[in-house]
Amino acid sequence: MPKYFDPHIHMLCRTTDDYQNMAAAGILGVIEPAFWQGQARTCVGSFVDYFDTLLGWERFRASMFGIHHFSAIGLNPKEANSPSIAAEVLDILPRYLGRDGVVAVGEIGYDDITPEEDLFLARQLELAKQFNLPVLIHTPHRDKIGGTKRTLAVIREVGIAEHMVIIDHLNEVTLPLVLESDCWRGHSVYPNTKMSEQRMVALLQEYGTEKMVVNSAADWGISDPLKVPKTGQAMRDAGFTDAQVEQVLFHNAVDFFAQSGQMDKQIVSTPLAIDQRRQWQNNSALRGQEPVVE
Amino acid sequence: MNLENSLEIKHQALIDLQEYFIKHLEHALLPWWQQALDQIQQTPDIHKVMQLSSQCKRYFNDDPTLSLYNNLVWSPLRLARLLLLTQALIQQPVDTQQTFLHQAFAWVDDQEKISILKVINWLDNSGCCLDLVQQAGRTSNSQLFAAIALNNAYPMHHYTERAFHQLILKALSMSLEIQHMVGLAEHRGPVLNQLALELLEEQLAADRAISDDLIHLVAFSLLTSAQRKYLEDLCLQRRLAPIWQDHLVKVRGSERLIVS
Ligand SMILES: [Zn+2]
Repeated sequence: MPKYFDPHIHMLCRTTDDYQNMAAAGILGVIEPAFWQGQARTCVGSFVDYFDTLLGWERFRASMFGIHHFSAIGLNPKEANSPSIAAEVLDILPRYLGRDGVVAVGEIGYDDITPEEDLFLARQLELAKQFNLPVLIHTPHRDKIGGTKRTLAVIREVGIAEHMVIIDHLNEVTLPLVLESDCWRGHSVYPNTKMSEQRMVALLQEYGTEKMVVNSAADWGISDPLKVPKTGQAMRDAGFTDAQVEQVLFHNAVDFFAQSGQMDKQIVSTPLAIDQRRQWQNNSALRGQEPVVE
Repeated sequence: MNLENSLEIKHQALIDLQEYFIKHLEHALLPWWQQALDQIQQTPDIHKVMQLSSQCKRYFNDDPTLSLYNNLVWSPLRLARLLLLTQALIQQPVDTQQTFLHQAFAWVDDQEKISILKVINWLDNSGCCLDLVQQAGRTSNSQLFAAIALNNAYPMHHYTERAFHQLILKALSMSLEIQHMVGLAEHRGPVLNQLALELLEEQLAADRAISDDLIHLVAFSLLTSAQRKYLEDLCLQRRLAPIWQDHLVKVRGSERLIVS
């Protein structure tokens, strides 16, 4: 079984079954980018607790199932539009960007493509530059072409190295725009929208595997945390070799985020040893089961 | 008093709504309604509104049977709650009305938010709550979003061109009937043409069905010749519904008339 890595998934919204199925399907590690909650937060405190939960409880939960968990921390595009809270969130970001397990600034970018989103995208790219961290950029659902062009323009204005940036949720019309840059190319394979396994395979056939990254972007909506291994199967069905599958679905993602200096490729290449006797703040993910210890 | 922060409430519209509500009210409910209004008149604060509003469910049904002004459908329950809130709102000193509305909006549930947004154009004629409305529009609740986007003149009066275009695109992505957007016709033009054609290109590239309503975004007479050629080619390849072809033919026909 090839090694897999899902570099964009919101595990906080998922169940322990998902963790078990992902581990069984060969997913060795995940990156969980901070994003919105399905509704707007009303104070900076709820960002503090959210970021702390990602780096604490959720990372612990992943470890209970043998999965390496890393986070990208940032102010999501939608909430850049609440200027007073957004400014406070920017002030607390520096205390997270150096923390253990934080491998990127993200997910940031455009939603409605407003002036406020412009401002907070640029400011967070500056922060990434200061902390020498990779950046995960979300492209918008609406006016996707315009939004992608503008994203590339802001990256150049700020002057962050393009190889430190991954532009995500690309499709047939936005990928060619990013191919003209040195940025990495992210694709979210989703049950209905965004991108299917077959369309993903077609893009890999047309444009090759260099800097191409695939994720499930699974969250609390209808989505599938096994889309990375399922894309692996679709690639094999289409004649890609196991080495090519692993290149796209493991190495590319890991190589990109390892630029943070916070992620050791050697370590994430083997499953995390499980010790379910461990606890987090006196809390366990077990409910009366016999703890698994490897 | 800071006029920049005042709502400019359209009082007559609210009076009409109140009268309409009472006219359709069951006789037996009139005493409760009257005492509820009296209580608000005596204590027009948000706590009183919330307390009385919570009692409305015991008295009024939630069947969408009332309809006043085009396309605004109400249930007695929703209208009662809205009227209690607006009663308290108009009794606030003018310079604190905006603060009151923001606070009320933060406290109520989505159903009441929808009611407020449906009449936001009457409550905030000046546009000083634009921020609140735009924040509310970031929802993924399509009913709440529809309260802003459809049959509502507020966006047309107060949104920037760019924000209005985003409103249209989001309405389209939520499969709302965008013909009911007030001001859609006025916003058709070269920018919207380009956005529509880019969306079309994306949907075709993804082998996805073309949104039925996408065609309503396009000002056919303002397409560039390259854009027109692009659409004509797609029609020839039978990748677009015949109605696209009809529009293209119509534009060409009217141009011939002008030339001759
Ligand atoms: Zn995401």
